[in-house]
Formats: sequence, structure tokens, C-alpha cells
Amino acid sequence: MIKVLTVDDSRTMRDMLRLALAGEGFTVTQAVDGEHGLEVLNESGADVIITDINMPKLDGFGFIERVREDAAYRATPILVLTTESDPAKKVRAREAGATGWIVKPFHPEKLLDVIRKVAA
Amino acid sequence: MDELEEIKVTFFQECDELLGDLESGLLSIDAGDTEPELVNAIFRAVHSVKGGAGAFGLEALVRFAHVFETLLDNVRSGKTPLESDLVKVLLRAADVLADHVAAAKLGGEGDAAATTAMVEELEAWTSGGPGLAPPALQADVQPNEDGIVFKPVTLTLPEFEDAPKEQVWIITFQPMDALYARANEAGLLIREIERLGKVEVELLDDALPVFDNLEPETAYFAWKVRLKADVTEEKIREVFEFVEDHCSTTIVRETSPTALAETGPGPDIAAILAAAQAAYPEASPPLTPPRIETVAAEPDLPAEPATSAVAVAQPTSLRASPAPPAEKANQATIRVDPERIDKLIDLVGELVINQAMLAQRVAGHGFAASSDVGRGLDELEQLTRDIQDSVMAIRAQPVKSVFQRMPRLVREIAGLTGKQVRLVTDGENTEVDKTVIERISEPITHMLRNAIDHGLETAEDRAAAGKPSEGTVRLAALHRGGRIVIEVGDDGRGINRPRVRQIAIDRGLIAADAQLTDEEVDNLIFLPGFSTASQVSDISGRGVGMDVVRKSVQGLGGRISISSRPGLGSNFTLSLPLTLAVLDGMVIDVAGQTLVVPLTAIVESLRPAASEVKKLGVQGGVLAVRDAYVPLVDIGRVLGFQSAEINPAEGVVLLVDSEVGGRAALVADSIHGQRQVVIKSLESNYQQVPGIAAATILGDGRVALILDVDALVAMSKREPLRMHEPSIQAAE
Repeated sequence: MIKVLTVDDSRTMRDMLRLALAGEGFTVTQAVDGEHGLEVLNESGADVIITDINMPKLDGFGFIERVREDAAYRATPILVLTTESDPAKKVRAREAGATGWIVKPFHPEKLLDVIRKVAA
Repeated sequence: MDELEEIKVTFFQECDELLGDLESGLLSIDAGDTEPELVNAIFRAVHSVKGGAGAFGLEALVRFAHVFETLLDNVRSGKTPLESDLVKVLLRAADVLADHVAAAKLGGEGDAAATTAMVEELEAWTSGGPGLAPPALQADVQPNEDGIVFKPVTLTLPEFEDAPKEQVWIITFQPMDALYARANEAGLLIREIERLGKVEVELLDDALPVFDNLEPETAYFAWKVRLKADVTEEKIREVFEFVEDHCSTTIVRETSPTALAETGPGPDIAAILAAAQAAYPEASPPLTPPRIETVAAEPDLPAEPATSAVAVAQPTSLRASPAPPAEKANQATIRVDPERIDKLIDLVGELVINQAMLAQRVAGHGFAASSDVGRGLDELEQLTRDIQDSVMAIRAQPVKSVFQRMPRLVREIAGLTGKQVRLVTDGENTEVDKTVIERISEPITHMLRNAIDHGLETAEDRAAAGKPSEGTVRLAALHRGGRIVIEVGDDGRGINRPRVRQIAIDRGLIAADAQLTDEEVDNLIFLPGFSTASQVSDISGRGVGMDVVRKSVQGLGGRISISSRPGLGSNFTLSLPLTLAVLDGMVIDVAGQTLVVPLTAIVESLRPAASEVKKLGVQGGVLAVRDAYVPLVDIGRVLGFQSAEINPAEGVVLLVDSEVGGRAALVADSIHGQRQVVIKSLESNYQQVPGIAAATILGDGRVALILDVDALVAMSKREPLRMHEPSIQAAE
């Protein structure tokens, strides 16, 4: 089963992601900010990571950079989740090592499409 | 409830928290805090409200949050300087946002006029300052261009394949190293193209060097894909959306569609994927070119190339991981239906009673405390208590959620009264049972209204009195003696005692010649029907006075008292139990009745010598305790159990501290000892009884009354009030 780590400070968004993914056979783990995301990743790994950008403690950009530093996760798809379709943000996320992005609010099917696009 | 509805409930709960964070953040900035993280935090709060609202299609809320967020983003990036006037605007915008959330919760939309006005104001600030007119206002209110408004994705569906528009596209695609470094996979991209129609894929490996020169992290391969499908170029470009900067891609239409040979499943996707994998070696040892050839040369691939592609393209970590059900272990919190916790608390209450009953029975059978059974019971008692504490801790919450709502209230009342008010809060992380939290909001609200409306003077009056024109209202929470204490203070004019006294006399609440101490005069404001406002004000309202506050506080097993200094202000102190479920008490006997005295009230218990008791008049008396005299309170007489007085020297005396009457000595016949009791409301099962707080069931199954020490002391002490006691009873 594909394990998706979702990192978002909004409980609503974490729940929405879980709802969209769990029914489709993904195993979903959750973290509340970038630092927590790194902890959860350390504990239980992930095959795909979906992360918010604006988060306390460690934001999405920092989180992605830290994940990419770990050789074990260099090939793990990371999708950034944000309402900002601001091109500058996307560029920055990609510089940090993001694989792709999902614009909030997302349609559950669109979310699955995007995951399928970057993960097997 | 449907799962999406449940998430919606979560969303609104989260909104309340976010709005609280937003407001407290803005207030900190207003108070001069320049911590840059504060601006980030308030931005995030609005951003999260918007994000969630979008998911539920709450468009009015999204639109307003978007305008708000845009301005905050400018502030965050330094484009718009955060000056004091702007903070005031942001605070009002936060109020409008809160209104929108509240309206959305009820299925409506926020006040359109207020929203439009606020949107204009926010946009004016966004575009350079308060004085500038917002450019193209209407256009900006509808932020469609950035995908904020929820709308289905338009797809060019393959169902239309039979339309005679099919054309052939030639796509060449050359990934750069950076593409792989972001975990994108050439194979997956080609698979995406394959979803669009029929493909022929050609691997361009001209750049591949001899093995010795192979750099493992360099991308050498390119692909040429012939796609036969009825799609636009844009649709094909979408496949490369995430990688457009990290590969060179050309997409051209082939002039002659017939050029595409009608082939079978086409050249093996799996071979391409294998090559792709080789181009980006991971933690696993890089594949050597000869092996690629072997795979690529494999003529008969499984019937489902997509499936095999999955297996090949997956990162090693995926294949290695057994995918355990790790979800639970990783969640920071779990959510539990509050009813389950209530049930647990009830059960623990029963456990406490049961444990007490058992202890009593065991003692009745003559087992010594040091016996095995006695020791076992001790352990059981300790465990029971630990369980109880742990269960209570589940429901404990900081009072922050209540305190956070107050700044807005203060702003509104300040606006209505035209007074300048500063709210200072303290101890908002103090924890208390959720059931208590839910019910303290109203009394606090009322006390704050009163403090601003009646307590604080107008700016002119304050200036005349030599005070700063801005009045201060203080709201604090702290733990003291196993209770939570909430204080609401102001630096206003204080209680006008002659006036209070006169009103009480006019309304027949006290006798004209009653001798009252200052403290007693101050406490007259808690009597029903007492209102010091000479005109009915919109804020405190008619007839809803401090008696209502006192009633709701008493309903929580709490006490309220006031201390006031003329010209310097008043301070209301609210003392509440940490939980409404259990109480540590001392079980006593009075005139054949078993009563429970809350342990928190008791200072010490003693057996007085006859010489320490001094009679005063017919029924009063004092007890000499060390170097002080403490008034004696005969519980049996005050509660009407007996008419004859007990001689304190023959009984036991409990020294108690009461919130209103100071220290007093309660006289009882005997003491049974300390017990933990489960509080059962007398009010809901019978009616309120003066001097009695609640009832409980003892270990032997008997019902015992729990004393309200404050009321008891007040009943015994306040002779002038006693004759009017029925009016208080009637109101309660």
C-alpha cells in the first residue's frame, strides 16, 4: 500500500486529505508542521509526501529541503499544497526540491490524478 | 454524520481557534510586539480559514478572506508598513471575518454592507494607503484567476476519440538532472502521455557515454514520442507542468496523420522505464548499460505495461516498506466523542463511591488497615484517585478559548460607551474542566460589561481625576487552593457606597438603620434586582445585574466576591471548582445529620477547651484560636436542624475560610473523616437550599448534604440581610 505523509497545520486540510486518500487505498500519516513532518518521516517513512507551505516552526520550503538532504528520500515525490498559485512560490518550492504541486481547494479526483502523475 | 460534514465541524472548530490566534496576534502587535513571526502567524490564520472555506464552497467567506490575506501578504513582505492605524483596521477586519465564519456556520453569508465597506478599506491599504481609492474594486473582489474559487477541472476526455479529429503529435522530451533530483520520473511522464492516446516511444540514447565515463547523477536519455490522439497541445503541455523548467520539450504536429503506423501495444513502455530508472540511479546500485539492453530487448512483455511500469518505477523505499498500519501511531492527537468522556467520568464517579463503600464494609468486618485486605484497599484507593485525575485531565482545557473572545467584546463596549479601554489578560493557559469552561464565558462577559459600563469613567472624568484617559480592565485566571480563580478588575471609580446603600434601602433590601461594613455594602450589588445604573443602558441592560452573575457562578459551585476602593477601581473575584464532578470533603455529624464540608474551605479542625469559648449575647459567640477571636457558627441552628445550641467544648470545631465573611468556626458534633465524594446536584433533583451546595451518596449508601460554607457563614453573620433572605431564595 502506498504510504502518503500529509503535512499541514490545518486540521481541516489534514482531514480532507485523509478523506480523499484513505478511501482510495492509501495509507495516510499526518504531521502538523515541518518539524513534526520530519519526525513522522523518520519514524514511519513515506512513499509520497504532500506538504503545505505556510506552517509554523518549519515551513514547507524548509521541510522539503530537509527531506531532500536525506538520501533515502531523494526519489520520494513531494507535492506542495497551497492556495497560492503564485508562480514565485511554485518556483521556490521546486528549487527546494518539490516534485509538483496541488492547488487548494482541490477536487479529490484531481488530487489522485496528481499523485498518480508523480508516483507509481 | 457523513464524514465530510464531520470535517466541516472540525473546520469551524479550527476557525474559532484561528480567529482567536488572529486576534491575539493583532493585539500583541497593537501592544508593540514586533516579533516578525507574529505577522506570519496572523497571515497563516487567515490563509487557513480561506483554504478550508474553499474546500466547502463557502465563497463569500473565501472572497473576504482573500482580500484580507492579500493585504496581510503585503504586510508580511514589507510592501505595506504595519502602522498603528492599519492594525486597528486589521482588528476590525478580523471581526468581519469572524462574522463571516459565524454566518457560514449557520449556512448564511456575512453582512454584505459591512463586508463591502471593509473590503474597500482593505484594498485601499493594499494599494498603498488608507487615502487611495482602490483600483478596479469589483474585479478584485472576484479572485477567479488564481484558482481560489472552486470549480471542476475541464478535461478533454478520450470518449471523443471516434471524432475524426485525431492527429499525430511528435513530442521530444529531454530531462535534465534537476528533473530527477525532484523525484520526477521520465517513465511516469511518458505513462501520462500514454493516457492521452496511442503512443510510439523511441529512446534517444546518443548521449550515453561509454561506461567508464558514466556519471551516475547525470541524465543522458531523451525520448521521442509519437502520440496519436485528439488532444490540444495545451493538454500535452499539462503533462510536463511540474517539469517544464527541468527538461527541454518540443511538441509539434505531424503533417500527415497516416504516417503513424497502426501497431500493437507499441514499443515497450517497461523498457523505457527501465532506461529511465537507469538514468536516475537511486540508493540501489546503478544499472549498467548492458543490463538496460537486456531489458529493452525483452520481446514479450506482460500484457499490462502500466502495471509493470509501476513496479519498475517505484523508488526502492516503496518496495522495501511493508506498509504497516502506522496511521494511528503517527497522529498527534486523537478525537473522541465527548459523550464517551462524560460516560467515563460518570463511571469513575461510581467507582469512587463504590471504592468508599467497599472500604467501609471491609472495616465493618474488622479487618485492620495493616492487614493484607486493608493494604490492598489502600492501593485501590490510590489507583482510583489516579484514574480520576487522569480522566479529569482529558477534559481539562486552558481558559484561553474564553479569554480570546473578550478583546472583541471590550472593543465593542468601548465603542458603544465612547470610553477608551485597554484589556489586559493574564494566565490564559490556566487549565480547567471543559464543562466549567463552557459556562464561565457568560459571567465573565457580564462582569467585563459591567466593569466598562459602570466601573470605568469617561476619558474626561478620568482626566479630571488625574488618571490616564485610557481605562484598564484586567482579566486574569489562576489556580488557588484546588480551585480556579478568575479576576476581573478595573481602575475606574470604584463602588459608590453611599449610593449603593441608599438604593438598597430604597428598594427595601436592607433596613434604613442597618449597620453594614464597607465589604457588606459592596456585596449588596449581588442582591436580586439591584442595579446601580441610573438609566437603562444598552450594554448592561435592564434588570440583568450582578445577581444574575452570582447565580450562574453559584450554579457552578463557585463563589463571587468584590473588593473596591473608591476612586481606584473594583476587583471581582470568582472562585470556581476545577471540576464539577467530585469533591474532597470532611464528613461530619450535626444534630443527627451527616454533612460534608468541602475540604478546600477547611483550615483546621480542633476540640476547643471550655475556656476558649466566649459567649456574646444570647446566641452568638467567639472562639479564641491562638491570639485571635473567630466567630462561632452553629451549623445545626443556622440550617434549622435543632434549636438548642451545642456547646462547642463538647463537640468539634472546623475552622473555615470563607470568601465573603472571613474566618469562622463551624461547630459540629463529631467528625467522621475525609472522603472523596461525587457531587450530585440538589438543584436539579430537588431545589436550591440555602447553605447547602449539593448532595452526595456516601459509602454506606446514605445521602449526605454538602455544605456551602460561604452561604452558611453569611447566613449566620449578616443579621441585617437575614430578614431579606427569602428574596434571594426566590430569585435563585
